[in-house]
Amino acid sequence: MKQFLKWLALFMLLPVAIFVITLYSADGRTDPYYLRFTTPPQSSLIVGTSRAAQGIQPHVLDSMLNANGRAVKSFNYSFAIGYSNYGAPYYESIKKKMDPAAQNGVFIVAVDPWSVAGDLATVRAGIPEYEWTFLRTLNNVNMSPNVEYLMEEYDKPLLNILVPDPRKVDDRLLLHEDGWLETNLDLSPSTVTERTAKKVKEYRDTRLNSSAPSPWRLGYLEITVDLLQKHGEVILVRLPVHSSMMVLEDQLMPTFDRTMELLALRKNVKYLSIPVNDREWSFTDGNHLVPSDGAKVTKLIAEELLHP
Amino acid sequence: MLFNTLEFALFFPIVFVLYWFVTKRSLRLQNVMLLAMSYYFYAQWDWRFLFLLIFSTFLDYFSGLQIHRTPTHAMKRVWLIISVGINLGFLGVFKYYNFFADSFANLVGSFGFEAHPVFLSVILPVGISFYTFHGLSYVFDIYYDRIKPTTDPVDYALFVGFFPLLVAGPIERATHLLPQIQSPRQFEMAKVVDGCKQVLWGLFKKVVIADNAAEIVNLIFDGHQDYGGSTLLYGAVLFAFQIYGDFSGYSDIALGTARILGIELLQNFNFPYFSRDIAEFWRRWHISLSSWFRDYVYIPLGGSRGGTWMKVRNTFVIFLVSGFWHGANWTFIVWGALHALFFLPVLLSGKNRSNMSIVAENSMLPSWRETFNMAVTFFSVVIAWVFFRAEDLGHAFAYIGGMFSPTIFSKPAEFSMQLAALVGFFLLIEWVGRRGKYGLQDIGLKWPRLARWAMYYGIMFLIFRFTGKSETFIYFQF
Repeated sequence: MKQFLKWLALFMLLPVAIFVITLYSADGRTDPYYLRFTTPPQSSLIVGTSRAAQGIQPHVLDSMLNANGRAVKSFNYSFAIGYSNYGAPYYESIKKKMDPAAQNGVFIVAVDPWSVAGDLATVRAGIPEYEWTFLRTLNNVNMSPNVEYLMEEYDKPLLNILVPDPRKVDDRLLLHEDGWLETNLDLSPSTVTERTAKKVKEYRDTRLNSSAPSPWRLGYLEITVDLLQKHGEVILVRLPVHSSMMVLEDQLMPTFDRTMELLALRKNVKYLSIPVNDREWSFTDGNHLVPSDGAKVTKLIAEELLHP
Repeated sequence: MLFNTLEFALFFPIVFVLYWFVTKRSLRLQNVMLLAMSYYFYAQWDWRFLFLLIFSTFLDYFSGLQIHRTPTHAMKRVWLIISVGINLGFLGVFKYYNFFADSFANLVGSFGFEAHPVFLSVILPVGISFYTFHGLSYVFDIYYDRIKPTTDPVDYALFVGFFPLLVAGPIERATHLLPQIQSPRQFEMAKVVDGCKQVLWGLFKKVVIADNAAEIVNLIFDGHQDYGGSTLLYGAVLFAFQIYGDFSGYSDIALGTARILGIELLQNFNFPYFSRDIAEFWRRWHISLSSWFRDYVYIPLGGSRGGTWMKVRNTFVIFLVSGFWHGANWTFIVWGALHALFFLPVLLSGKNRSNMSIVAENSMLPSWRETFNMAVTFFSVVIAWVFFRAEDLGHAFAYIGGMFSPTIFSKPAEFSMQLAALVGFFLLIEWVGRRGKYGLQDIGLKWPRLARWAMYYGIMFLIFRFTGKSETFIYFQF
């Protein structure tokens, strides 16, 4: 037995060393989510889907609020549609990411019709949505390195972190330590037009006809607001999108703004719906703001928080 | 809990330490601990079905005792029927109810009547087909006086619920496993090292071969109408490697894990794709299930002792039942029927036992004839796999129709050079190691330690560098 353990320990030295180095090499280029699960619990959060992940920049928000005497260190805990639509998995994950002792935090809850829409058949049947996403299965969201995420949820081979596949290296996305997902895409007008057309087509063809406003998701949005309100100030924000995307959203949920206004009124929180204006805002694909306009939008949100 | 997860990587070392260090002095304590950990392992999937497993275990344990103690043959038969009836009843409800209800509605509908059967919204308890068969073999063996029942419920519960084999086999026999559970196990370094190697090779098969193949297979099977014949053939061949890598990989991890704990499980695969005829294939593929059906269905029906008609009937029965065991879908039944059709000519010509040894046993390479026979057998198996993988019969026929079209001679789409290289490496190891119980077993045994370790490091590197997108083990659904 002793001999076996001795040889096993010797044999495992090299793999364990490589494993540990790999874990510590994971960073903002590993994937668009990993770093968000490596910080301690947070006292101020930005929640929502990829629009918020790419659009709302914590460093911009913090510098404006701090300059005006509000000590805030915010963290972007937004992911993507399909993962962080409002619902049980996202709610539970937000709870895990919240510092239970936090007070006077700032919470930006990004909303749009897609984030509270569910599968049409499920909504009609009146049953809860069930998503088997990493937000549901990941137990620990505050660990660095996050072994659980890398072993269980990271969708590439683990050694890809240390030895990336040169054919699959994607340097267009960089996740910052504050949770902001920076994009570095080709923004030439023709490419943006093409990407926008593609994105709008995708939403029209695959999402619009198979989705419906979900009372279950709206309910979870409400209890998410309740949860965050216990720890500070909450603001609901509808980020701008391209007008062609807005047409689809109006079809999906024509009364969305009214619904959010009523929710804000009920919960005594602010609702900021930033108007659509294709000349004012630039998008990478009609759905996500370019980084410079993300900073502009973040400043708008900060102003709303500072000057009600 | 799956074998290829972080959870299991944490779970098993704890079992190892408790097993070899804490409870080693007492066999009783060791078995109780192993049973508790096995139930914990099962409960990680869905704790509610643990009660079903425990009920099924104690039903068979109690039935076994009653069959043995009852003096009259009629009463023995009653207890056997109770046990078999309840076991198959559970299997029927959880696995086959909706299939029968749907088939009944379709049948009635074809006569112009309308039926509205009640469909059950039940999930299949993982491993039910496997642990039910463990229990059935136990009561059958007692009924036919092959074994005496154990009087220790913990030993019996461990025989059924031992975690390495609980959810996807191999389907053990009481005659093989129970004596090992009842005797003290000794730590033997050579066996433990061998177990570790088998686990390593099983992981490679599962996460590198099966999971990478699955990505392309899913793409091709889901969008079969968009692909030419050569791509469909490529998809079907890849599925053959996916299911083999997946299931034999699982079995290797199960056998290796058990061996580390000093317990030998039945060999479940023996290089089936190197078979020279379909009879040989069935002696090498999912051996524990094939032999179960042979011993408890085929032989009681008369086996191949009767006339031609008897042979044909029994062959069809065993393959159809085997297909049906895999799932409540006509695709599995057709898969079984196809294998029966492939098997019959070999059986009726009396050549079903002409390839009993491993191919090219005394040479490095097979002869041309052996190569040709292996290719024909593999291709037959691949055709049948299309039915196994398809969603329904329409899907399967459309797939095969598309495969045998003029585009079969075109260049396949979705071809991955990387996957081809990995499968090539896999086949090379399997071929070189085909005389052992698993591919890696005998390779490098005479090499210097450093070279041997370099090979293991190489396989570990491949596992962590080329892991495919994690897929659940295919046989968990059975």
